[in-house]
Amino acid sequence: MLAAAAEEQIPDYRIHSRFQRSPHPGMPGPYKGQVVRVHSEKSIDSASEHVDRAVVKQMLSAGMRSLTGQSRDQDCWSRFFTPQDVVGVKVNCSGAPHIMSSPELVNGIVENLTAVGVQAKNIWIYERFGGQLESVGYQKFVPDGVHIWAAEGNYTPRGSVTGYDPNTYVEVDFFGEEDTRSFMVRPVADTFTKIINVPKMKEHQAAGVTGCLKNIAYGDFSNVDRSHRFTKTNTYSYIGTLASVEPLPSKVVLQIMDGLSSVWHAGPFSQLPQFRFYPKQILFGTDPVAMDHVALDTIEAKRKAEGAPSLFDRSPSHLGKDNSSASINHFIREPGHVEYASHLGLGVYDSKQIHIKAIEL
Amino acid sequence: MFFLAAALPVLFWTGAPNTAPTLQQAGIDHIAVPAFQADPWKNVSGISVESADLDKTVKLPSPGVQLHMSQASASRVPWVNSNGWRFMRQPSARFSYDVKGNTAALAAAEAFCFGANAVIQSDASGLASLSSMLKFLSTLEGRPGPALTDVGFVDNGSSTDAEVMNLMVRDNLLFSIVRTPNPNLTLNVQIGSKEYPTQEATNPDTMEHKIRANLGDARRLVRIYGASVVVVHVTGEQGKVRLHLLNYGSGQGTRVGAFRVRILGHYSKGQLHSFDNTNDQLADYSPESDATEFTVPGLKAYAVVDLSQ
Repeated sequence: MLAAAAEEQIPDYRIHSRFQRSPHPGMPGPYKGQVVRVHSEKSIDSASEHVDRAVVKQMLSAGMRSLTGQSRDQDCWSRFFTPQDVVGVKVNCSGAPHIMSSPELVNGIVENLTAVGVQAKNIWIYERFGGQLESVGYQKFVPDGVHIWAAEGNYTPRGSVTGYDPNTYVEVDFFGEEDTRSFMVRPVADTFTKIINVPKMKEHQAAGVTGCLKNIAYGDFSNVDRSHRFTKTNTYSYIGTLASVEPLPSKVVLQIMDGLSSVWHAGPFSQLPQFRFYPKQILFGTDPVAMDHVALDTIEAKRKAEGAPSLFDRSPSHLGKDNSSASINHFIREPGHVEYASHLGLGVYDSKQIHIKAIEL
Repeated sequence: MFFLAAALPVLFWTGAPNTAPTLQQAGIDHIAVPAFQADPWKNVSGISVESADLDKTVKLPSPGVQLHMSQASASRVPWVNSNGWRFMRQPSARFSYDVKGNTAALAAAEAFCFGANAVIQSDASGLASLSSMLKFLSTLEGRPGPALTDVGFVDNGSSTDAEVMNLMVRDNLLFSIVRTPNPNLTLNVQIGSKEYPTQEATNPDTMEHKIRANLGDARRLVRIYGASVVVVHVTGEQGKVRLHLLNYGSGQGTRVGAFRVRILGHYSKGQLHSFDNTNDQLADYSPESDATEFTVPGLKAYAVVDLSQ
C-alpha cells in the first residue's frame, strides 16, 4: 500500500516568536531549487569508515564554487558570512560514533569561516544532546576557542530548559501529553547571526528521511519526541512547522549535507551496521526542501536495490518492534514532510523545478 | 507559628531510647512513638516526643515514580504516584508513611505541601534526608491562604472518582473537592452527571483528558513545561500566591533540570525557596498582563515559589 503523503488533519500549532522574517531569508535563500552534489570515491573507505580529510576539503571547495559561481573559496564563503558574524554550525550526532556530521567536514567548514574573518570564539558547533556531541570529539578537529555546545546534558542536565529560549516556542497537543511546548535552542534565538546546517543523510523510522529539514527542526527545539506515539508520528507537519519558526528561516543561510556515509533503514541511529551504506557524496545548497528531495531519492533508490519497502509504504503489515528486518519499521513513515515544508515557503519540492549540478572528483 | 508547627510532619520511630544518638546525629529533635514507648522517651534530653497510634492513621503508599519503558511509544513520561488526592479526600485524617532513604524527605514535603497531618516511619537510611527536609520546611513562612484551583470535583467517595482525582493531581489539573458545584470555579465535574457519565470514567485517562479539554489549557491556573515528574500545588490570597513544587523522582535521587512555569495573573515579584540550594533564583522572569512565566533552575525534591503583585 503506497500513499504519496499523509492526508491527515494538521494539528493546531501555535507559534510564539518575537522575530520578524528577514527581507532576505536564508531559506530557501538565493539558490532556490538548486542542489550541488559532489561525489568522490576516495572520500571515505567503506571498510574502515576512515574519512579522507584532504579529499573532503576538495569536495567542499568544489561544491561551494559550483553553488556560488565564484572561483576562489574565500569569495564563496564571503557570499554568506562577514567577520562580524556569530555562526552556529548545526551538526547531527544521533548516529554517533559511526554516523554523524563528519568532523573532517566540520573542520573544513570552520577553516573556511575563519578564512573570511569569523573569529573562532564566534563559531559554535552545536547539538541538542551533550552526550552525543561529546562522543564525536569535534574539539580535536577545530581551533581552540570554537564553542562545542549542547542545549541539554552538556552544561545543563538532560531535559533542562535552560538551553532553550523561553520566549520562542511552538505549542501543540498531539496525543494529550501534558507538556505541550517545544522551545527553540537559546543561542539560535539570541546569539547566532547566521547558521550553517550540516545534517547527515539518513533514513528515519518516523520521518522517512532526515536531512536538512529534520536536522534544523527537531534539532533546534526541545520536547519533540512527543510527536511520535505507537506507530503514529506527526513529523509530516511538525518538521516544516518548526523549521519555519523565525529566526530559523532567516538565519540558516547555508546547507551542507554529509552523505559520505548513510543509513538506509532503522535510522536515525546506527546500531545495525548492515543498514549503513556509503553514497560518498556531499550536497550543497540553500534550499532545504530541494536538498531533502535529493536525499530522499538517494535513500529510496538504495532501499529499492536492497528489496526493502518504499519509504512511502504505509502498510500495517510492515509495522513492528523488530526492525532488524528491512521490511519492518516502528512507525508509519512520513516522507511527505519534505513536500509539506515546500508549502510553508521553505523551498522547492517539484523535481521538475530542482536543478542538480553533479560533480565527480 | 503554632499552625506551622502543627503542619510539619513527624518522624514515627519505634526504636528504644538508647537509639537517641542516632536521631540526634541526624538532627532529629522531635519524634512520634507508640504510646507504650512514650514514657521512656520522655527522659531523653534534646528530643521531644508525642505518641501516635499507626492503627488510627490512613496508611499511604510510597510517593515516587514508576518508569514505563515497555510501551511501544516515544513517550517517556513516567507514572507519578502522588498522595495528593488522598489528602484532599480526607482533610481531617492523620496519615502515615513507611518509607526509606530519600523518599522520607519526599514524603515529608508531600504532606507539608498539601497541608496534611502525617507521621513518617523510616529507618536509619531515611533519617538524614528527612531531617534536612523538616528543617527546610520549618524555615518557610506560613501558608498564604487556601488552595487555589480550577476545577470543583464532586467526590462520591468511589474508587472511580479516586482514580480520576489521582490522574488530575499527576497532570497538574488543579482541583478542590466540593459538595456541590461551585460557580466560582472555572469548571465543575461530577462523575455520573450527564456531562461526565460513569461509563466514560471506567477509563479514567479518557475522563481526565475530557476534563482537561473542557477546562482548556489556556484557562488553567498553572502549567509546567520541561518536567514530567513535578506536581504543583497552589495556595494564595489577596495578591499573594505560593506554588509548591514537588519532584516525585527525588526518591530515586533524580534531580529535575530547569523547567518553565506559567501561572495566570500578573505578579511583579517572585521568590524561590529551594530545598536544594538557598542560592537558586528564578530565571527568565516574565510578568505579562495576563500571566507570569519563569524558569525554576532545577529541583531536587521540593521548592516553593512565593509570588506577589
